[in-house]
Amino acid sequence: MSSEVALEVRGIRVGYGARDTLHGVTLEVPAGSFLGIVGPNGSGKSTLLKTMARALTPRIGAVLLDGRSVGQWNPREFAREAAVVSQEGTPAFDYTAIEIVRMGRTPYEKRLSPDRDARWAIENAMRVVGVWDLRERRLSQLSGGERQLVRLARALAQEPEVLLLDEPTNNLDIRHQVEFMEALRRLNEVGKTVLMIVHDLNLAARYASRVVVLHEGEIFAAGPPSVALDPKVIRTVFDAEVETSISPRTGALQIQPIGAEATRPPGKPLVHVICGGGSGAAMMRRLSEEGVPFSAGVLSVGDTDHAVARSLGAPVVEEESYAPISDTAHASNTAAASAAETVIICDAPVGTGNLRNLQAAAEAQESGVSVILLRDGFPPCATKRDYTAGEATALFGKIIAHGARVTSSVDEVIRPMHRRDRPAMHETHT
Amino acid sequence: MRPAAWISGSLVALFLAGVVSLGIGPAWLSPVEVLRSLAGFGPDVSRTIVLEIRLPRIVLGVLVGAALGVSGAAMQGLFRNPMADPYIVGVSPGAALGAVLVTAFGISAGFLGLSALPLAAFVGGMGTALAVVTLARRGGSFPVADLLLVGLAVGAFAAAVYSFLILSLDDGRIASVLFWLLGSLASADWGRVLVVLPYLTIAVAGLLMLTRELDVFSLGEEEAGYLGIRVERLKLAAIALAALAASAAVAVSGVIGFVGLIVPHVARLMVGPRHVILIPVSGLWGATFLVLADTIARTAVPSSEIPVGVVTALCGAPFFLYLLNRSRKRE
Repeated sequence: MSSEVALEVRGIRVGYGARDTLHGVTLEVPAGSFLGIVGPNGSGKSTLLKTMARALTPRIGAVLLDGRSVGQWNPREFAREAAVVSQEGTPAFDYTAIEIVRMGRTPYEKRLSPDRDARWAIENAMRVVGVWDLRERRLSQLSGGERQLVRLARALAQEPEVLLLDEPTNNLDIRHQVEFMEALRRLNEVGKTVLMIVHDLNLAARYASRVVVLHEGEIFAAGPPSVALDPKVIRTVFDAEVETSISPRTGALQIQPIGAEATRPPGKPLVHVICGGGSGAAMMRRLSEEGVPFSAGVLSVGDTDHAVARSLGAPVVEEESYAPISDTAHASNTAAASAAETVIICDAPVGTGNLRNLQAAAEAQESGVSVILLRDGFPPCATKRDYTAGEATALFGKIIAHGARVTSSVDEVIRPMHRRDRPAMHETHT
Repeated sequence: MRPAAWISGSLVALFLAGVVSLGIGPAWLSPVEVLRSLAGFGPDVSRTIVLEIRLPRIVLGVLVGAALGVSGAAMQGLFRNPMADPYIVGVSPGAALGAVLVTAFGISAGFLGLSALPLAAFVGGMGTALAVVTLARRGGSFPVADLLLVGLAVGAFAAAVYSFLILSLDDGRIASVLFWLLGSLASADWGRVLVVLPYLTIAVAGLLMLTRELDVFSLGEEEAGYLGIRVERLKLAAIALAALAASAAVAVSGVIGFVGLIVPHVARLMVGPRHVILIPVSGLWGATFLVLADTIARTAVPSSEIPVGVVTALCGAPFFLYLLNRSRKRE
């Protein structure tokens, strides 16, 4: 590929009947990029892709591949440059996987001279996608995910520079979804240009380097995922309220719909959770799921655990961001901890700013509240992250000496609560 | 099994069927006598029976059966539907209309060694196919669903006309037209063989050239287009060739049903869907099937003939159901 822009869409208007489905879309797909196209049903995504793949002819405007209008390409030459994985259903007859992939060689076949690279290209395509072992199986014997991978292999057998995909991961279970997307990502890394329509905004956010949001036949937003998939954009385009966050594990942008607010377990908090920095999120989520009312504190505004506790509807003792725990906050925290039956101290790093959380727990323990230390990892040791020159460790020692339980498992924390408080409700598992 | 094995096996089967069929008739000949006669030895009587009476009919059966098998397989591939057959674009009612018309009006002029009836049938079949394709045209494209529906409508129209015309015929003519409508190889001779040979050869050879495209076409029109196939061109070529094969076959043998429907279907169950094997095997099996069916048609009732179309349906339908059932069980 010589030019830097693989595909260029210039002000296309495309219509099936009297009305246009695309009203002037202009788009550049740089060579080697991974572009995700999202948009609600009927926004013109498939029309755009079909026009780019020369299945539809724009009424006005043009699509250029390598600087040449796609309509002017010879269909066979075009198929060697750009491959499409469309939404069309299963083949009419029951071919084997390798026969399907071999069809990808069509643009290279001539009637009388053999296609010398066929064998290599077919095997390579099937190996890259991981379906070589399935080659003799008939399509009807494959799962939906495997079939989709076979179709991707067929597209690869075309040895294209550009891959155009129309919602390829629809109807795939999560394992095959990831397998498919990872295969695409590897292809993108070796230089293939990928343009993919996606239904799942999170997949777009996770894999695409650029995202285009289509809305009523026009581009509503475009850019890197975090820009294009802004909650405000999604509100307008999808008519849905979402919240975005960055996955601490994958670093990908995550988009969660905010439905009805999580229902808060009724009643006075039985548990007070001391946490921070995400250490209490799983615990609080589980408490909420099990219907155990809880409070949390002291958490600074902006902290992950603060957001989680708030979204779960729990009463939170809060403090401003980056500020040490004030006297007022500490007093409310101690009161909340003492009012609960159990205080759970999650495995958050302890510094001088939040040392008072441990003191609140210790005070509550003295007034008869049981304390559980939830530690990460095994064996559970009191603290690994003491940034207070030993003060926190000493305080932990004291709390343990007064009978606090140390555990590494959320289940361990939850189970006795059930036995005591809600004997009738649980015991469906283990 | 490899394609070559299927094809050579099928060729052997066809040859054996031909030898057996050559021996069966009012005068029975052993396979050895048949082979001797074919090679030009043996008594004159046997040679006359084999070479002049039975052989043209068997060769015509081979040609017609192969044409129906090949074009049936191609049409099933093109329509992506195992219920399609060579007559799908209205060829059989069109040909029938032509045949009934010349019978009704008593036209008997011949052309190119063909008498009026086969000629009219051929023109009727091709004409109907052309009309269907023209009516189904939408802009530069020929949607498959429209071809199917227009084919049904035009076919029904032609059938209505020829049914009405048949009612106006006298009994003798009704019988002969009905016999032709049900399909028969009774009027086979070397002249007919030579007349249809070029058309059938062109059609079969042409369809054999389209095997790879037909495979890709089964993915769907859109996908086929993405793989660089000129879809509309392929559709027109396949339909034209299949209509040519079907019309030529109908012209010399009447409307022989079922061969073009079940033979490709059975072949697909056995050799798989790849057209590069499916089409030649369908042709060879169609030929074998028709030769055997015609042997029954001309010998089952002494000193009388059953239309071979009746035999193909009587033998084919139960066998087809059996295979269908077996393949369903396997799944």
